Amino acid sequence: MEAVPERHGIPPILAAIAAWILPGLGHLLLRRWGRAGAMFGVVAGLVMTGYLLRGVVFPIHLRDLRGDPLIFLGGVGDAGSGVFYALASILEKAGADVSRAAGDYGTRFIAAAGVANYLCIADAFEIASGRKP
Amino acid sequence: MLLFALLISVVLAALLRATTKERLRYAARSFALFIFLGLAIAWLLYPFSQ
Repeated sequence: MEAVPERHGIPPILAAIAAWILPGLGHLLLRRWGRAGAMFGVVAGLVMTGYLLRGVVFPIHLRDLRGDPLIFLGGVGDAGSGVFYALASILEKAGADVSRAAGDYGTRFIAAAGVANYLCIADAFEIASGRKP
Repeated sequence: MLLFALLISVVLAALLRATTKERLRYAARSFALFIFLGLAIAWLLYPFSQ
């Protein structure tokens, strides 16, 4: 007999928004302590390494959709890290520097953090909606 | 590369596997593959950097 996934009292959209704002918070609300810690640690580790390497944080401007869609997509990817994206100007005080290879690596770390958190948001949504145990 | 491979392996294992044992095995395998493929691609591209 197949196990019936547990339903939680938290609306899936709320779990998803919480997971986006602060990586791991969605899983924390769903009482998935281990997963919440892992998500926060991984996203924070990736994004802070990216900032230390002085990677580029792409802004989100709708006008980039016509001019340079890759910049816009970069911004959407980076924005996945929620509060870390919002605080980028504070956390990366020195600003981006891609004149060295390290800065380019940093850009990839920041993008990977955002994309990893999008996966976590989808996971929190699935758990809250009872589709995943 | 090591840090990137480690962190991405951890997040994939946490999301895609249910038990701790399965997660550890998946993360270790994923980490090893990241490193192996990264080095293999680097060596394949090495002649073009000259």
